[in-house]
Amino acid sequence: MSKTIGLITANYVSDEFNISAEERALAAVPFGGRYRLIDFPLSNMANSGINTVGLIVPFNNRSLIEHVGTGKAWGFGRKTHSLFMLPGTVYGKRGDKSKFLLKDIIANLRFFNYDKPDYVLITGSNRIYTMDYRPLIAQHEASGCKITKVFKGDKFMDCFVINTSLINDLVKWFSNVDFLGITSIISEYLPNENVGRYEYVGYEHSINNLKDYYETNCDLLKEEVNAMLFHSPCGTIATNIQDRCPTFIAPTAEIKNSIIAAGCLIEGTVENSVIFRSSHVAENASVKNSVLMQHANIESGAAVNYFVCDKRVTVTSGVAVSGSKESPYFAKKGMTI
Amino acid sequence: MYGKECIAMLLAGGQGSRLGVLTRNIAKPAVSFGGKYRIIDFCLSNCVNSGIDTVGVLTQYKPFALNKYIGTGEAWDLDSPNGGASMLPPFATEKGGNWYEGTADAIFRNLDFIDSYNPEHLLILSGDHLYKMDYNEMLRIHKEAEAALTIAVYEVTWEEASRFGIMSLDDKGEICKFSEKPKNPDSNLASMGIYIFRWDVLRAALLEDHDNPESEHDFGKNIIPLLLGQGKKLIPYRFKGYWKDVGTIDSYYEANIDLLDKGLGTQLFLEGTPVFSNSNFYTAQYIGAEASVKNAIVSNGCSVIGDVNHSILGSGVYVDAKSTVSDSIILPEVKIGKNCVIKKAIINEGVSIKDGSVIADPNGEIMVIGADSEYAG
Repeated sequence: MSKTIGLITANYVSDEFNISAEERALAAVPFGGRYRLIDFPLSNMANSGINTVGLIVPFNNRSLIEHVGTGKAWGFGRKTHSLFMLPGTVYGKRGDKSKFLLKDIIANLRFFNYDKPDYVLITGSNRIYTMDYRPLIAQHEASGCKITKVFKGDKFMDCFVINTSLINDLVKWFSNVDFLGITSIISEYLPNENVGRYEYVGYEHSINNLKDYYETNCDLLKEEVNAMLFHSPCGTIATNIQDRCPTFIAPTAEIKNSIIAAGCLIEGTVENSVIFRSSHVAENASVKNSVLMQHANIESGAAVNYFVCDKRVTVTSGVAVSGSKESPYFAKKGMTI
Repeated sequence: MYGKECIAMLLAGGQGSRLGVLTRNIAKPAVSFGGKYRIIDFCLSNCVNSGIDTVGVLTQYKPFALNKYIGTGEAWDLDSPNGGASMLPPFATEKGGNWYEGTADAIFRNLDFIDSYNPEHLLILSGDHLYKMDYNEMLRIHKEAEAALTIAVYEVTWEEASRFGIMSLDDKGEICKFSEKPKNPDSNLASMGIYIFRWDVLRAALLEDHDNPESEHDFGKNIIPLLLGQGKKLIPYRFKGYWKDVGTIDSYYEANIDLLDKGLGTQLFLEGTPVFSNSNFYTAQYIGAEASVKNAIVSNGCSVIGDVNHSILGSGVYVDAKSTVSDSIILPEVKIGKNCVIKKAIINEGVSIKDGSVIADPNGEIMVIGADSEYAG
């Protein structure tokens, strides 16, 4: 039986997304009430039977490492199922072309040859989708291609399977060229290599800026998107368990079309919003069309609309904050408004 | 051998027959509570939060769900290499096998397990009580008083007193009498079924009790009177927080509904030490555009499309359009179809309620649904 290992690159940030640039890598950005972006590639790999996964960590790696730990929540951290934290060579790199740097592979070459895998499945960490990778690997194996890239329509999904032998060749041939990405090497220098294409059908959304972030969270309010992401037959999206108590919805609450995580106390109005763990919406407070990360505190009489806030933001009593659908108002971590 | 100061033995083998269909497939301590919890979470969390890292869980009645739930004990940090959680069902020896024939007998049959940790003190717990307690504080008082046995007591009303095991105190404040469900109680200090024994004292008492053919091998009926007869020092430990025995449908219903009281919910779940549980992965809850949810505890994985009022929804519950759930306790993974009316009901785990069902007692009694996996009516 052939063996596939996984590699997730998480050592990149986005210029446009000030949520992440200062504080944490994109991979560690909270999402969907109780998740972080990294939960999706990690769960997809675990659910596809990939037992060895390497994670190239970002420079600001505290929040990511704290969240992922030994990978136990995803079934890693066991004798035969391991998650490896791999150092990156370059931090804060940007843009799609440099997501999969050969330098990062060279720095961690031992990881790719330790178990003598036939294939390596490589993905980024800022795209939300739930996918069974097994048909992709099967197609790649049957096709005889050296690399198979995943597309949805014309869009490359920052995900591909590559033969380990090709990785080793690339390392030999290009080791003294700086800053080369694997996908650009293939398209620019090896146009004749056998490159396959795998079609993904289903929901996906990449997160590069605040608008993407807002849209993707709001997409979860659509039943079909929610079902595709969280109730897929390929398995559950796992995350770090935090033992929060269930949410209490007070007699005064008015909630419509919203997602609310555990440990919240909702006493006011919430519409078309996503509210993360341990947040408080006080009586007579109003939250509409908004995404509140964990420990948000919307005090009595405050009103937010088209509002996205990072962790531990307080909107004080009587304050009204409003953005627009195209450009939601963003509050940084720990702010009091 | 260097021993542990105190280890815990948790009695989790009872059937809990007064909970009816709720314990049809599952031991009482494993019954769901408060949305995402199971009753036993409180005791296990108390142990860990009190620094007790070794817990023997005595099982007997339908232990599968409980075994699976506790697993390695990891969810409560009880997967420690030196101690942790151990499941202790009845077992056979070269002399044959027996069921546990009483609370004291269950401990007696596990002497080897307890001796292997060489503890100074043994904490005995019931797996079916809801409360948050620092056992360390109780242990401190037990040690300071150099007591043979310390019993946690709770002041109940005089009317209730005849439903409990009642402790009477002498003028030194020590326990001088124990009466099981007395008709004319002379004290209102009820035993909470939480004991800390000096292990050497209990060990000797268990051996003596085992050889007594008249004994029912019960802590309340036999062991405590035996120690009192020997003139041992027994002291009370007064507990003042929230405490509830969830042994009956009425008390189970009440304990759940109590959580809707904001003050109590805050006291149990948000303040002080955490209550740990072994939960599955669920996504965050979804409240629909036409839904109305008021005065409710709603767990992860729930979807509410209809109306919910004054109720508790367990993990993964679905309430479909135009259905109304009020004054009810809905256990995990229950699916409620369209156009249902559910009032003052307890719906057991995993039950699917068909479209158009009406569940409400005309006399306002609590309805308990869950003998079958589907319900239509």
